[in-house]
Parts: sequence; structure tokens; C-alpha cells
Amino acid sequence: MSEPPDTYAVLNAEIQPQTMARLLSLHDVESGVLVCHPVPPATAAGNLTPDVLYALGKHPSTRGWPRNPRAAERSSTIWLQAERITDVLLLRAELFAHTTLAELVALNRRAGARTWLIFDSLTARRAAASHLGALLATQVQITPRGDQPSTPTKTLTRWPPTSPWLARSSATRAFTVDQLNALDARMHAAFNNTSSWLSAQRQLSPEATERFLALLTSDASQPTRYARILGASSALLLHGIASEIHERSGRRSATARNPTSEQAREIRRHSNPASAALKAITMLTDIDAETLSYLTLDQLIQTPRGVVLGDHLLQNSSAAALRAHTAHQGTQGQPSTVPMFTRRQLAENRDARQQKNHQTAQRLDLKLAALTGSLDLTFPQPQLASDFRGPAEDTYQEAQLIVRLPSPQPLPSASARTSSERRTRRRATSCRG
Amino acid sequence: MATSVFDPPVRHHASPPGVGIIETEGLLLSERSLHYVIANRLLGALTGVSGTGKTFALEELLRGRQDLHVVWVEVQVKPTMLSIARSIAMALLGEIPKGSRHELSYHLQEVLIDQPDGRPLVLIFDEAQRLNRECAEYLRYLHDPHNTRFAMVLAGGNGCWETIRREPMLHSRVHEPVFFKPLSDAAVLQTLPNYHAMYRSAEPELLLRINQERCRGILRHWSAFTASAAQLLAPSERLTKETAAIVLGHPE
Repeated sequence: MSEPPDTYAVLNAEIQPQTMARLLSLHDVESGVLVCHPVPPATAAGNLTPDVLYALGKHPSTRGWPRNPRAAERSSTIWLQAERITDVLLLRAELFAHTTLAELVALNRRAGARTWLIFDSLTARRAAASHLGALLATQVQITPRGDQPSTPTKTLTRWPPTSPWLARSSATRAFTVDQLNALDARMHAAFNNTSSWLSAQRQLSPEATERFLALLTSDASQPTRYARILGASSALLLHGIASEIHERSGRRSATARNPTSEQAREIRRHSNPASAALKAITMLTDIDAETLSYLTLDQLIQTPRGVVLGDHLLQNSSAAALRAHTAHQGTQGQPSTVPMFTRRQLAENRDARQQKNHQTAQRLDLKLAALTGSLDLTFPQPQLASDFRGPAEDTYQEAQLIVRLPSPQPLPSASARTSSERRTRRRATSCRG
Repeated sequence: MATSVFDPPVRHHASPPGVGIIETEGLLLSERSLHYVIANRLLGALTGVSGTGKTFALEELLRGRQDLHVVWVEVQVKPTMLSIARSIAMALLGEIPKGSRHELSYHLQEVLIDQPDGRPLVLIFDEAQRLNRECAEYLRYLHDPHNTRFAMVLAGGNGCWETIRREPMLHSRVHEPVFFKPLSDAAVLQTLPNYHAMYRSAEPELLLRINQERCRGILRHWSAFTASAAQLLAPSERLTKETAAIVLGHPE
């Protein structure tokens, strides 16, 4: 069966304000319909990408408005996909040259959207339809969009139970290389980020620690969450803390966050994906700027209903902003384990909350105890508040044993360490706060 | 955004002393048309022969209206879309935002709305006969979208209506256009006594002769004639044949 055509040419013979108003009223980004009312071009060979961005709600007064055509085109593609636009209507199509219209059709095609070219002139419509291979249509017919996942989430079902310390060897047998790499990356990211966070803390309280770890270990599936928990546990051990971290059974699902129309407008004004994503997170979650600096990109979990971040399910315009941010980072060649936002991005968007009244996530059952008298603890060990519950005795003893094991050889002096070791140590101990 | 009340000085051509405002047909029709266009945020047009009082009517009807936010833009000679956008921005915002024509247009779409207190925004384009096709397209672009909400009035002399009619996208959008015409003989005799004291007891034949020879029903010409005659007459003195002949340039 052949694919349905993706370009249509429609005649708006009645050049009345009422018909224009009817066409404009079809604009509904949330439903995937974008009506582009272009600035009349000075010459027919105009550029439509700024008009597409403006129709998407972007505004030139915000940071990162793309000012060269190629950047505008890249940005348009990302945002059309992020907003899951299925139909783009261009009004006053007769004002533009066929090459300009062809560029718009190609842009929409790349983003998976159909193009409806609305002409006021019969002859212009016929000529353009012939040139572009567009189907002549008597009216615009939008098929309602069903919610579809943009990226299918890989299902990782099997995960070996029992010992948290010996999971890796079992994992190599249980998973494919790709699956293992994906888990490994998450474990590594959780390890690094937990270590950085611990290095910046003088004292740990149960609420703040649980909140941070709950966010850091959030993920799409149980195995990937478990991989993150393992990474976090290893980092805690490195900082002289024995831990037992479990997901509570019957945990509540992520809370849906749907922006109001005013919030949606604010989020959509940003053409820069990072700014839009930060605006969305700031408006709709209680995640503060410091915590954000420890999160990695792969903690944005795309689902058919929106994007999950920690205990929040961000929807509509906010989900689009996070999808766009992920896609933009992908186009920059960034792996998913890089920090979600750079320090500069966080600094540039100062309205990211510094501190906020947090709701306790209560997703994790967290038990921590400081390991005392360890021989080789070179990483900062924060003080634990007295109201922490401790792990089981055997877990504590096992952890104590690991950190008390004398090194087979004395550690080399700092000057004798390899540059690779120094880099690793610096990275692990760097404070991101 | 500038929010001061529209308050231009009363301008009679040649500024003759002691003249009053006369209620021409054009002025009365403009009042009704403007009321409708502003109430519904539509596009209106005041056109007709030069000197028949279009600009005067607009200024008179909008002067001091605290219930409106009036923005007056005089269309330049050979305008471009960018020059129109810049003129609107300057008149509306008191500054021209930086950026390309696209960026400026997006800014304008955000500010071409009623005032926060609900006062309607009224955008007047004087000398609209200078608009070319691309500028007409541009005005339509600004006025059509859902997110803008303002009344727009095009006022222009010779060729203005032809310009509007030439552009179907503007023509089909104009509500209750007002066509200013030269005063008929009857209108001259009826209205001039209210215009200046010198005409109150002047002979009708004399007024018709002046109208035929010089003024041709054009208010601007009557204003110039009145200014010249007033220099030869004492205040409230009646216009005589002799004085008229001097002003007309052929003393008896």
C-alpha cells in the first residue's frame, strides 16, 4: 500500500477575513496542528523558517533565537518533532516562490509532518501543486493525532537478584552487549554524580539524601533504576558510607504536570531548547538548581504520555521542551550520560530555583551508616544526621570489610600517580554545587 | 508603550484667524464610520480629493479621546514593509526594537492589542495613497491574526481608494469607507457662515463666484482664501465684493 501524500494545495477562494479567521483558528500546537501565518516576503524567495518558529510560539526576544537560516532550519526541525506536529498549514502560500515552498515541505517531511499550502489564487495554487507534486484538496482535513511514543523504550526485563556487589558478573550473562552498556552507562553516571554531590555536602539529612537519590536513580524500567541505585551505593561506599537502598513497593507513579496556557506560552517562547527545558522544569517541578546540576540527560525518560523526570511526568509544552533539549544535545553529539544542563546554561537561566519547599518523594527506602576507622578513605565523608536508619548488620560488616581491606601495595604519592588516575580522582571529587 | 492621549493642535490650512469647525457631510459620516470600525476593531478608510478635510476630520474626531489609544502614522513616500514596521514601532513603543523585519513584525504582533485597561488601540495611516502592494500585504498581515486586536484606519487623498481597490486583500476588509467630496454649491452656502464671521452676511452670489473661480468646494482652498481675506478685513467685518476681488487677484 502506498504512503498517503504529505503535501496538499488548498484554494482559499474567498479572500475574506472570516475565512482567514477560520483557518487561523485551526492552530493548536497541543493537537499537532501548526498554522503558519508568514510575514509577507520582500521578494518571493523568502525564508519561512522564522515564521515556523514564531508559529511554534518562539519569540526573538529570548536567548538563542536562531539568526542564520541553517540554524533556524535545524531549530525548526527539532521543535516540530518535539511538539509532535503532524500538520503544518501555510497561509498566503502564493506569496512565496516554489523553491521556498519546497524547502518548507522538505522541512516538514523531515519532521514527519504533512504540509497544507493555502493559496488565495487559483493559478498560483495550480502552478505550485504541479511543481511540488502536491495533491489538490478542497479543504483542510486534519486527522486527530493519537499519542505516540517518539522513541520506543527498550524493555529490559531480566535482572539478577541477590548480592548488590556481585551483580556485574551475572549481568554480563543476562544481557546483550548493548543492554549491558546501557546499564553500565547509567551505573557510571549515578556513581559519578553521587560522588560529586557527596563531596559537596558536609552533612546528610535523610530527607535531602532521599530526595536527591530518588531523583538521581529515577529511570524508565526497574533494571535501569537498579543500575543507578548500584552506582549510587558504590559512590556512598567510596565516601565511607554503608548503604541499603531499595525501591519501596507500591510506590506512587510520577505526578502529571500539565502547564497552564500561560505557562505553556512562557515555555514555548524559548527557541533555545535548554532554556525552554529549564523554564519547564522550574515552573513545574520542585527540583532546585543545585540538584539539576547533578542530573544527566538520560534521566529524561520519554513516554507516550510525556517526559518523566524524577517523580514528575511533564506533559504537553513542557514535555516538548525536554524532548527538544534531548534532541538538540543529540545533534551536538553529546552522549546521554552528560549532565543535563551545563553550568553556563544554569547560570544563564537564573530563574531556576535555588531552594524550594520540596515534597518528600518517598520512593526509596534508604538506610545509611558511616563506616568508621577505614584505612583508605580519601574521598570526603559527610557527617550523617542522627535520624538515619542503618543498614542490616551483614551489609554494614561487608562494607566495612571492603573499605578496611588493606591495599596490597601502598598508594603511590600524588606526584607519582598517572595523569589518568589524577583525572579520575579529580572528576570524582569535583564539587559541582 | 506610550499611552498619552491623542491631542494634535487644531490645524486649519493657512491658519486663518477666527475660523470655526463646520460639520461637513464627510465629517458626519466619518464619525459614524469610526465608531463602528473602532468598536469592532475593523479596517476603515477615509478617502477623497485632497483638501476636503479627511485628516482634519480624523484629528477632530479622535482628539482628546481618553477612551482610546490612538497611534498616528504618516506613510512615507515610497514606503517599504520595514519602514512601515519601524514607523508603527516608533509611534507605538517610542523606540524601534532591534532585529530583522521578521523579528520586528513578531514584536509588533505582541503589542498591537488593546490597552490593558481595555481602551481600544486605533492605528491611523495618513497619506495611505502612498502604500504599495507589499505594504498593503503587510498591513493585512498585521491586522489578520487572532493575537492582534486593533482598529486600523487608512486615510488618503488622490489615489488612496484606487490603491485600496487595487489590493483585494485590503479592499475586501474595509468597512464603511467614507468618500470625501468637494462641497456642493448648496453646502458652501450652508456651511460657510459657520466657518468664519466674514461669511455670515456675505452675498450668496459672491460666495458661489469665489467657489467657482478659486475654491471649487475644496475646504483647503476656502481656508487659504479666508486667511488672505481676513488680513484685509476688520474682525467680524463682512466680506465684500471688493475685498474678494483683491484676494482673487483681479480688483475692479
